[in-house]
Amino acid sequence: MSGSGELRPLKNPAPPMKGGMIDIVFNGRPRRIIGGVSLAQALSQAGTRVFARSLKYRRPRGPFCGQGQCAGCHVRLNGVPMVRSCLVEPRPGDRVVTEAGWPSTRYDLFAVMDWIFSGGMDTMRGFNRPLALRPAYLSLVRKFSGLGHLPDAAPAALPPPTAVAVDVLIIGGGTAGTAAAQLIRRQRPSTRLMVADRSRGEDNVVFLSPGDDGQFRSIVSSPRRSALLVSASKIIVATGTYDAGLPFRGSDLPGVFTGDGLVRLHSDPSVPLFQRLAIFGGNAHTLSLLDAWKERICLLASPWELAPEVRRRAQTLGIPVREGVAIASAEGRNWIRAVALVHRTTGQTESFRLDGLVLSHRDLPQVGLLFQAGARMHWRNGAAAYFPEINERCETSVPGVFAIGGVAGFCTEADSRESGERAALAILEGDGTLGLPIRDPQSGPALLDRRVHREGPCPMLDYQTDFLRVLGSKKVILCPCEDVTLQELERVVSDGWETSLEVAKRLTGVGMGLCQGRYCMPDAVLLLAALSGRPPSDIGFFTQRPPVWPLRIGDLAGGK
Amino acid sequence: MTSPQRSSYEVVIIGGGVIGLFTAHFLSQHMDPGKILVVDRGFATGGASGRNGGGVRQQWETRATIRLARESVEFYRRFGRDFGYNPWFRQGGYLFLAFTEEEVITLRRMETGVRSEGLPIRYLEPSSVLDVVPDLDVRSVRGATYLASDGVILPFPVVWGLLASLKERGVEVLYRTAVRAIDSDGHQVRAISTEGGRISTPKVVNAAGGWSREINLMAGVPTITHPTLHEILATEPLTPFLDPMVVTLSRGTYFSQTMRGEVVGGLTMDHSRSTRTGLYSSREFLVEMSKELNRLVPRLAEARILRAWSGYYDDSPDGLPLLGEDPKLGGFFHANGFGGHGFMLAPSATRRVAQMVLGQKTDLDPAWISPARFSKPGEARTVEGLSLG
Ligand SMILES: Cc1cc2nc3c(=O)[nH]c(=O)nc-3n(C[C@H](O)[C@H](O)[C@H](O)COP(=O)(O)OP(=O)(O)OC[C@H]3O[C@@H](n4cnc5c(N)ncnc54)[C@H](O)[C@@H]3O)c2cc1C
Repeated sequence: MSGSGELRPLKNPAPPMKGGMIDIVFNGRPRRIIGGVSLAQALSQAGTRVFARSLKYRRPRGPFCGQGQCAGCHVRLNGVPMVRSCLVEPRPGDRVVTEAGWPSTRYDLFAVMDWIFSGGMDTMRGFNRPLALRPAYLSLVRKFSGLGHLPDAAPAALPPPTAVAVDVLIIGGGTAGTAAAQLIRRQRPSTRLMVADRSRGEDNVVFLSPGDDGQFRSIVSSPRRSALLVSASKIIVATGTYDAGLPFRGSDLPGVFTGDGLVRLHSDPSVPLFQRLAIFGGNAHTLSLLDAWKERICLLASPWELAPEVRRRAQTLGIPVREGVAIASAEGRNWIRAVALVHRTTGQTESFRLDGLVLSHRDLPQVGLLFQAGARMHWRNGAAAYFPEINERCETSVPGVFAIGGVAGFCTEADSRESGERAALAILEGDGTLGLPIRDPQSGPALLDRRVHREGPCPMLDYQTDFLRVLGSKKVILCPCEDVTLQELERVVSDGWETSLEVAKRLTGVGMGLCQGRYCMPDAVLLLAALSGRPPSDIGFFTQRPPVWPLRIGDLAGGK
Repeated sequence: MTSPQRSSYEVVIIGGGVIGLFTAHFLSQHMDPGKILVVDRGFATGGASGRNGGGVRQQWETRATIRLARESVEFYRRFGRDFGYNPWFRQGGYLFLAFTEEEVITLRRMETGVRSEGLPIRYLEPSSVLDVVPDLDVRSVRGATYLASDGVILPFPVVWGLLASLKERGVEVLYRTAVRAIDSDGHQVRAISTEGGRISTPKVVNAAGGWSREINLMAGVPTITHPTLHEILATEPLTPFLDPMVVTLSRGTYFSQTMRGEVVGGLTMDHSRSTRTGLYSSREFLVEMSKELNRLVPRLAEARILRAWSGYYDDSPDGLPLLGEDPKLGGFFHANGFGGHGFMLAPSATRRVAQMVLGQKTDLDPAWISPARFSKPGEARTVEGLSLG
């Protein structure tokens, strides 16, 4: 019945609609949905809005990141809990259950918790007195814990993980990773090379650590088989970037997506999921979103000035543009209905009715594996994030581990490609078989200096400082996985605790949820900095714990 | 790095984990709180006190440990009310599993001792084990013991509650300040040097957990304890299905379910030959722990590991802590060597440490607990056989 075989990888994260309909059983009732797309997309298209509920306040949750790293779209699929519906394709006869809520996920009576605790629930200091009520508090709170029931059944047999030894493991097959791979293949075809790329839902490198024997250990998981235990002499991390989240009141509502999330989830505007979509920010995905959704876009807003070509494109399409604004709040019950914008200098507010909001204001490096490998990281103001320190060979502080492309702070395709080639050359040269020089082929600033800037202005910090000014006292969910509020973060500062991210994490739970901090930590750093008046680099970071994406126990447990 | 407010204190406690903070708490009830200083080189919860599994059990072989643990259980039950921070101490019991006849004998012996201390421990045949944890695979289980009042606690709120209360009482706690040296005249402690300056004090408590050995080296006393790296993991939050902490005798595998629903557990790996330094998680651990979870609760094969982390145990040769004044160096007190059990013993053990620092008598047998027990080679010592993973 259940088992890893049931989870089909997505062939193509954003295929065109094939139109074929399939029949599944959804929450116990027959349901006809489109096939050939992700389950998340198919269910959304069939009208499912609330996929899950949050732990504390039972707030509605829906698809958000489109790449299996948020707490939005998990469902029970054929008896297996917490399957990220954005990563699997539905098959006829699938049994899909949304597990949260009573009597249903969409109409959850316990959602009154959100209202009862409209000022926030203090699980750290509350529920203490009187002593006699302690057992009752414990059993009540425990009843609400967990996001899914234990799997229906144990798998019949677990194939053991497979050990693989390679010379070079390239993690990420985007521009930079592909450039590195091509050069290595061309210059030395005998190299045992593995390129693992998770964007197709498979070959997900979830673990990386130096071993005692000079080889790196890693775990590569895939929904099709048990894990690969890869050892490699050289590692090239080319994991790229992802689009950030953003806290504001209602930011956790279904209908809010990240830019790359929407691109993966709903590429095909011929499926009319939105009538009025707003885009916030002007990053790399904005142009393609504008082109894809055209007349269904009701607004392009940005925290700062847009690139001229982005602004022009929007104007050509007749889309209203607002620059220099912050999102103060979003309205809606189970789906976003409106946003309120505040102009960052004039303070003027403006409201827009809409049924979809895309956050494309900020790219963040996918650095979890680099942290785990022990690479030295430093803060870069330009992106308000931590990046690996690298030398001119693109090697990190851990010898043998290279970082290239977006994850290393390179901003353009050309630079990413070049960084990939440098790492590849450094590896090829390392064994003396090639006499290729490492050179900087272009005139002008050297490659490393063209990364996102380290010192100087930090636009995202300025944004959060402005945002704190317009923030009312209403609950803002900073961490949608664990329902941690911005107000809890404010209390870390006002109660006089050390304002480091490590302490804030353990005081509030921020960063301890399913996304491993990907969607809350970058803003938590800035907000702590803004609230305490310290520079963001002083707030520090915490290491994303391994595995960097959740790893099925059965993938490792097979065999003797 | 911060500098202390004064240049001299009556007691300086090295280490701001649960052991150091609880020691300060009990001391402050009997002396001027302003004359106590806690120094720690890291941040609060950065040591083992923020990295443990939160297991609190009273099933032990040595009587004194049973008594200490029992007192801790009572203490933690009231912690939320008394300190204002809720550690969600959930008494779902501890279930010890035996897979061999030898282990059955160990459990039977332990059961007798625990019962004679008045605790309602039960010995369970494999079939009744299923009443406690229906999802366990008991096919190779030979027997088990179960004590319902054992439980699991959330570590962070204990640390925050202690810090808040110490602040209120006026005890100075300095984080991000490392102790660099301990000065003595060879017989008696005189002062410590920290990054923030020199502090004179007649009494120092070594509550540095996994770093107690380093502090002993600074003080020039024999090193008995040593750190070992232990790994632990948590799954994605699942709806409650597991009440007790489950422990296997053979490998020291343990796992329970937190109030959030995560299955949290670990087992002992041998990292002694590893060349890696610092805290890390190993691939071997993820594999071994997955096998154990799958073997014990087969349905967990379809669940997912969310995160793994590690911390140091401060191990002692006999599985029992070192509590009290050093036999060679006057004014140098030990509160370390807790292995994987310092959290559950903290409130009761440190209450005695505070008494010893204040020169009072305690109800503990020195032969069992005193650091001097290691300076008499050849003498038979009590060993705590259930000092597991
Ligand atoms: C994975 C794991 C699981 C565990 N599970 C359990 C369990 O289930 N139940 C249980 O009871 N116990 C458990 N333990 C053990 C328990 O966590 C410890 O025994 C307990 O936390 C020890 O507290 P401590 O205050 O002595 O040490 P710590 O919390 O480690 O504090 C020691 C402090 O000393 C500081 N320090 C070190 N060197 C210096 C210096 N030179 N100057 C100043 N400060 C210094 C450190 O920064 C640190 O904060 C577990 C431990 C681990 C690692």
